[in-house]
Amino acid sequence: MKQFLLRIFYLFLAVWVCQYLLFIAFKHTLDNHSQFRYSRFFRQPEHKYFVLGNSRAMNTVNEKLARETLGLDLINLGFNGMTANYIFPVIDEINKHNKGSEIFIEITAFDAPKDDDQDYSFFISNSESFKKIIPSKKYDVLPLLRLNSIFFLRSMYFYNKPDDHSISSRIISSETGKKVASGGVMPMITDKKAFEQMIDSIQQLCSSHGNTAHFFLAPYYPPSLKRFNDYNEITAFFDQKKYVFTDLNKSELDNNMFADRVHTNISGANAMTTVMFQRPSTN
Amino acid sequence: MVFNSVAFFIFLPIFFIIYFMLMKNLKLQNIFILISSFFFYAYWDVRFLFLLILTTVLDYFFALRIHSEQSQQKRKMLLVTIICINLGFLAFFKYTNFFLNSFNDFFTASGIPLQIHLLNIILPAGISFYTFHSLSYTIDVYHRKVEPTRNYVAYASFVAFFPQLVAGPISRARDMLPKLLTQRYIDKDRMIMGMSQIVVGFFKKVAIADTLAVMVDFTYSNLYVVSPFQILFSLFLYSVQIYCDFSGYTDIALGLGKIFGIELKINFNRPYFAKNFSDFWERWHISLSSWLRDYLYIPMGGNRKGKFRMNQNLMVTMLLGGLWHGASYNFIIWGGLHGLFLILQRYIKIRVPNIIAILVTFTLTTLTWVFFRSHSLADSMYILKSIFHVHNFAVADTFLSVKALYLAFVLFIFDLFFYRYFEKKGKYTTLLIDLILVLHIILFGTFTGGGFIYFQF
Repeated sequence: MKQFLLRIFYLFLAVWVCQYLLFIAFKHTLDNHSQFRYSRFFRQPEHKYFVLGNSRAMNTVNEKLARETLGLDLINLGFNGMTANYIFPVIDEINKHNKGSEIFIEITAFDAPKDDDQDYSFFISNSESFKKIIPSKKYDVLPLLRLNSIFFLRSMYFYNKPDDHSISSRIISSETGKKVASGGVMPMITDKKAFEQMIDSIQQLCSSHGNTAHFFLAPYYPPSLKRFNDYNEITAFFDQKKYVFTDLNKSELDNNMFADRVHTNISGANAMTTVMFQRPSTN
Repeated sequence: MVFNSVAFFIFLPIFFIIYFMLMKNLKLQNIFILISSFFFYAYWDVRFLFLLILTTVLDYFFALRIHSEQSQQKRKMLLVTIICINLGFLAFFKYTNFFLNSFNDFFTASGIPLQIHLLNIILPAGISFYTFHSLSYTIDVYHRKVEPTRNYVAYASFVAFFPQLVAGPISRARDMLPKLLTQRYIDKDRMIMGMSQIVVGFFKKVAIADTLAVMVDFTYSNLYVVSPFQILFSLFLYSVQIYCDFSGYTDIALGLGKIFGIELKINFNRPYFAKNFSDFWERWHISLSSWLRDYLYIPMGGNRKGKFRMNQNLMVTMLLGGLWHGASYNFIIWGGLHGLFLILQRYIKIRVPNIIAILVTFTLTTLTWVFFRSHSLADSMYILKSIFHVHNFAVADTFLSVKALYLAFVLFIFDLFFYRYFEKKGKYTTLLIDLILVLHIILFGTFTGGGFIYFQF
């Protein structure tokens, strides 16, 4: 029995030591060499333009085009499912290192329910402000768990190449288009008061550190826009508050510039990036 | 309670400590096993504990009576009665709504304006498994292959032993009862092997099955939206998922059995290396296939009454095997397809290299899983049509796909070179492999506590 218990002890000890060593090795390598955008951000946190938001932000602003063609110092920090509770700590990080920057925030994510999946904790493993919002402590017990996420894979996948080529080149199918057009009416946001409070907080957080919040609404596949019954109410809110806001739906993209009903494809992204950054303060 | 839950991680050390404190008193130790097993079961739903207790009590007394009865006619009548009771419970909880639905479909198709209301029945966890434990005992007593025990605690512990209670393996009384009736001892080598087997089980379940399940579940929930390649890819992943899910559970159960000195029989033997369907069923869910062989196929005549009867027996056995998994036409078709392949392989005699035979068997098995996993027959047919229309390699999530492929590759390497490594390798090599597997669990695991697929059966 004693040998059996010792064996369990040795195994746990070996696991504990090895996972720490592996974590340090992986983290060091990825933080210093990966071309994944968050790895790049932590190596070089100073930029003029930042983009935040969920997949709609990620797919609307083509970072490569902005940098190479428009000559902008821009980094797109949007990721799939980025909700408002993740936007706040990222703005904290931006504020720590930047003054006079413009932070472009896509507003669709605000209304999404809080995502407790915690996957997003890992990619900012060296960000204390981000870790504060993670309710569970399990990642501190087993650091290797921090790498157990899609962001770890992204960091590995984009080790040698920047992850700004990931915007889809697919064109929405005519069948999906027809389905979208025949869909029912629904709200864009479900809790108007909470939404407005979060927008106000973001505005305050950015301006208090000398940065400018620039809210925007990424384009929807045009036939689907009419389904949102509170669209006018939301745009009116920004008018009333006089916040900097761009509604990209007004740019009237062709239907074939969409990958699906909520995401632009690469053509749409190029068009939208040009529109946004050539007229950054239009309403 | 499931093995990959927090509750189990509290339950297990407590059980471990008390169990070994009672090592010198077999009677008390068996009572403790029984109480713990009942608690393990009741933790899910206490109401169905009474059904489990009732089953064990009835089978215990019927077995004693069958054994003591001299008249063959009365013995047979007692056996038929207890089989009907056991299967009656199973049929009521598992198949009532299936048959009512079938009647309703028949009435609708015949234009008869009659619809029977379905009943609100909850399926007790593991009922198919413990019913088969009990049935094998009474049938073996009837055939005088097993002496009935007069120790109810030992008998009930055999039926309800918590590692095998809800998802097998389906043990036989002749294997298990002696282990419960004789003094157990501490064997450090056996216990260390048990610990390694538990690590393998969690690796298969948490790192592989639950991770692959994310993509498979997404595909099956969005069948009519995702690309044909995504569907094809998910079929392959489901083959790996169900193997790792079920054999992972079995590995944990076998590992626990080794630690506690009540060893269970092997239930999986690298099934995807099977060269044909007979070989597959000698490697997949071995305890069920051998149960069906011994208590259904052979009593029906097996292969002793000519080719036609043999084929008929095979098909009936596999159809009932399919129905055992669940009350749905999909499971019956799944069983039927396996029956068909088992029959066909007896007539198709083509000699091919082993690797080709393995690939063909794996591909056909993967296609049969379509019916096992789909929500409906219509979905199954859609899947089978879609996979022949792959025109690009679009997947919903590239990163998850890479992770899934890597894990499937690790499993392949593991099964090819390190299968049952804890029985063959030295203690340092074993410890190193354990370590690598645990690191894979924490690096690639999906910690959402996904249920085991076979719990629903």
